Amino acid sequence: MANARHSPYEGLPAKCYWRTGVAERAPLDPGQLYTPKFPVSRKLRVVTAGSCFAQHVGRALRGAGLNVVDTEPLPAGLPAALTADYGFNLFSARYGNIYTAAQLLQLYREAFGLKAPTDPVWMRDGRHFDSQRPAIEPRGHATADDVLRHRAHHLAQVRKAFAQADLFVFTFGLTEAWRDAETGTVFPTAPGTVAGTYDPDRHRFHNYTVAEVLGDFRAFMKLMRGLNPKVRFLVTVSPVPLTATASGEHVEVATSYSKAVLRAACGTLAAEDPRVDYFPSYEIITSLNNRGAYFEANRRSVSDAGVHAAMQMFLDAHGLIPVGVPATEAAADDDPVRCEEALLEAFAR
Amino acid sequence: MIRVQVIGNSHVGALHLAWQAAAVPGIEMRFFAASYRPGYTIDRLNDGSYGLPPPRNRAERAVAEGAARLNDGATSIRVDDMDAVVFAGHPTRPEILARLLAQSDIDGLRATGADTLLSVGLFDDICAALARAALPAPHPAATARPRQIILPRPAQAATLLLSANPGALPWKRLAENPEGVTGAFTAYDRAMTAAMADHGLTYLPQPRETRTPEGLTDPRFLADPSAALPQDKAAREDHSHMGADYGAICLDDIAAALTGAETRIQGRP
Repeated sequence: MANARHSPYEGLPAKCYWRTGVAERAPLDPGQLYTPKFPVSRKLRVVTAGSCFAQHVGRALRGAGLNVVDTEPLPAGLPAALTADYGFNLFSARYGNIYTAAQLLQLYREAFGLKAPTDPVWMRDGRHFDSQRPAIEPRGHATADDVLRHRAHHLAQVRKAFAQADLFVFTFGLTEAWRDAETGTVFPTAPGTVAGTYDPDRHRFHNYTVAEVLGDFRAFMKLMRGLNPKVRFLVTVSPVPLTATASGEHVEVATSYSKAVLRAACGTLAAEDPRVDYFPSYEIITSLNNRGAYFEANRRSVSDAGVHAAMQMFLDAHGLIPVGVPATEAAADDDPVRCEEALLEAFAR
Repeated sequence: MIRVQVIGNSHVGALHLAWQAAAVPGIEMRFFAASYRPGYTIDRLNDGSYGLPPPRNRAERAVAEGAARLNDGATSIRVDDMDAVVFAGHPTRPEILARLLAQSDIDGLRATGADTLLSVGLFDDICAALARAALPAPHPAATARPRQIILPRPAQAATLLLSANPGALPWKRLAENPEGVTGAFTAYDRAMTAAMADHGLTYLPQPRETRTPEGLTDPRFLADPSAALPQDKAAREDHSHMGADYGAICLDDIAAALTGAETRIQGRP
C-alpha cells in the first residue's frame, strides 16, 4: 500500500494540470499537446483533403519530404498564386475545400459510381461552373459539357488518389451546409454565393450534429477500407472560425457549435478506432497560452507563425525534419563556359 | 539607312555570323556582346550607355575582359544615334512550358490522357503570367527612341533528345506525343508579344520554321552540330547556340519589323 494515492489526479504528468500545463507554460511554448498514436514516416503515401486549413497541412507535409499524393499535378516554376486560384497544389486532387464529412462521403460515392450529386452545373453571367467545386475555375467554362468533362477527369484522379492512400489526412471545417431538399445533395458553398441561384424551395440550410458527422465519416472510412484495407486516418479540426453563419446565431456562438461538434466527433473517432489519430491543430492555434498571437488582425485567419507552430509540433512528434525543396529538372543551356565559347567562335569568323 | 545596334549575350553570335555572311540592304548593324554569367550581364549603366557593370571579382573581370576583346576594346556602348536596338538572347523559359505540356492536357489543344487537364482559360492565364515574369527589367528608355526589339534565346536544339541531362525529360515526353505543342507555343508567343507590347517593346518570337514539333530548335540550325552530340564525351553538349542560318532568318524578321513589313511576322502561322 506504499504507493496508494488519495486521488486519481495525484501524480499525473505536468501536462495534465492546467497550472503546469498552461498557466505556467511560457507564452507560445507549444507544450506537449500531441502524442502520436501511430508513426508517420516518409514511406507513407499521404492523401490530404478538408477545409482551407488543410492546405497548410498538405504544404507542411510536402515541405517535410513526405510523399503527399497529387494526382492532378503541375510542374514547378508556375506562379503559385495563379495555380492556387485554380485549385492546384492544394490537396491530393483538385477537389477544392471539402468542409464537411457529408461532402467527403458524397465525393467518394460519386467518384466510384455509387451516387451522383444532383444539379452538377451552376451558372453565373452566362458561364458554367462545377457546383461541387464552384471556385476551381474562376471564370467558369463555356458550356455545361465542358464542366462535366472536367468533372469526369477529376473524378478519375480522385479514384487514383484515394486508392493509393496509406494515410488519409482530413481537416474538418464546419458543420453548416446547404443541401438539395429533395435529394440531399450537399454543396460546398451556398447556391448564389460563387455561382448558381439560390432557390428557397429547393436549397435548405443544415447544421450537422455530432451523430451525423460521425455517421458520414464512419461510412467514408468503411468505403476507403474496402478500397484500401491498410489505410489509416489522421483527423484534425480547422481552427479557422466561420466567416458567416446562416444559423441565426451570433457567428461566435455558431463557430463554437461547429468546432465543438467537430472536435467531439474527432475525439470519438480517435477513441474508438486504433487506426484513427487526432492531431490537435485546433488546440495549438486557439490555446489561451498564445494570447491570440496565432491569428491575424481579423481574428479569423491563422498567421504564418500559427501554421508553423502547429505543423512543427506534428513534424517533431514524428521525428520528421523539413528538407530542402528538390531541384527541378535543370535546363541545360546556362553554362557560362559554353556560352563564352560559342560567342568567341561567332566573333572569330 | 536604318541604324541598328545588337546587344546581348552569346546568342548574338548567330546574328553576327549571318550578318557577316550576308548583310541586309538598307540596314547598318553593329554588335555588342558579352558572354553570359549569372548575375553579371550587360545592363543600362548610369551614364545611359549599355555595358557590363564594374566587375566585383575575378570571374566577372574575366567576362569583362573577354567582352572588351570581342567588342574592339569597348566596354560599353551608346545607342542614342540608333534607330533600333535589338536585345538578343532574352530568356523566356520555354522549358517551363515544356514541363507543363509534358504532364497536362489542354481543352481543344492537347489530349493525351495526362493526369492534369487544363481549361483554355487557365492555360491562357499561365502563358500571360509567364510572359509578365519574362519581361526585361524596366529602364528609363523603355518606350523612347531608339525602338527596342527583343529576340528570345532560341529553344535548345532537338539534339537535346539524345542527352541524359534531366532537363531533356519533358522534351522527350513531348517528342513521344507532340499533339498540340505547336499551338501551345504559338499561344505562348502571342502572350509574350502582348506583354512586351504593353511595355513599348517589340517582341519577335523564335521563327516558327526553326522549330521541331516538340518545340525544340531544328538541329540543322546549330552553330556547331558536332558540339551537341552527347555520344562524344569530348563534346560540350551545346544544344543552345545557333549558327548563321538561324541568324539569317532572325535578320529577316528584324528587317521586316523595321521596314514596316509587320505582316511577315504577325502573319506567320
